[in-house]
Amino acid sequence: MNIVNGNAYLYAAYAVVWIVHCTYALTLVNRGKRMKREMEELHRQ
Amino acid sequence: MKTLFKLLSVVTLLLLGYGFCQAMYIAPREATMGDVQRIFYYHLPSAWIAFLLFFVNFLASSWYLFRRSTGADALALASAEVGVSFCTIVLITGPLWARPVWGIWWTWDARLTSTLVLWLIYVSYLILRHYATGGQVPVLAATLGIFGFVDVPIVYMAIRWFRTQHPQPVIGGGQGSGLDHRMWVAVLWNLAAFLLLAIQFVWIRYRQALASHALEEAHAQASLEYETGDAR
Repeated sequence: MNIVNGNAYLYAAYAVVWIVHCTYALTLVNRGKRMKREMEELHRQ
Repeated sequence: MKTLFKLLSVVTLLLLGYGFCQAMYIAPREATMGDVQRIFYYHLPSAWIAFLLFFVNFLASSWYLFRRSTGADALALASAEVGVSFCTIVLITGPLWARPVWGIWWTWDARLTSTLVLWLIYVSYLILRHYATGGQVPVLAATLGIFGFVDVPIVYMAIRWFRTQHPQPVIGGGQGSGLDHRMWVAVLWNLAAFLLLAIQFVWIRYRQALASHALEEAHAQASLEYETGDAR
């Protein structure tokens, strides 16, 4: 039987999944830090 | 709450690791597609989670329109944002699977096109939330969220209603459809793992949306006090 050889596509797909999730997690962390800074500034004012 | 969240994060990481092992090493190799079929174990759970999150957005948007609840608005925003990230994964892993199997990256069939439209609807929802200003933005976004959800059952049913390039359903697809039980196990482990990850993302984003709302109110209050003080 002729089996498709697509390992490069498989690795690319798995990599994409983790890149998207890690990027989103990083966005959440940065947003959290920015908001914390803003809150501290507001408290100082 | 922080301890519970940390515990949940550890459980999620363990599940993601085990899900990865299930998908890559334990699930059997598919007879015709070979190893590239293993994309399925990330593609399918991501699609189901995106649908679930858009359903949560639909419920929260409806609740917001009825009750004008800040919490519902925050939940709608959080679920839409996380849903878009999962839908993005579906739209990228799909073509990466299609290329070696179908010989093409993309085709404008009903399933693929309706999924792209779904992604565009919720991206426009997020753009509206991010760039529009004024008190009516949450109402407009909630309306878009409610009508946008109509596309979810269309995406789901597209492969049942139309003849598509996308494979016919393997789950609930009638006679001749179905999965090897070891493949099912891999699907379910990955579904559980990514569902937990999605819940944590939504929880963090929900808290941030509430905090952002409180921050806006505090800024408004501060500037009002400043202006009142100036007038005196």
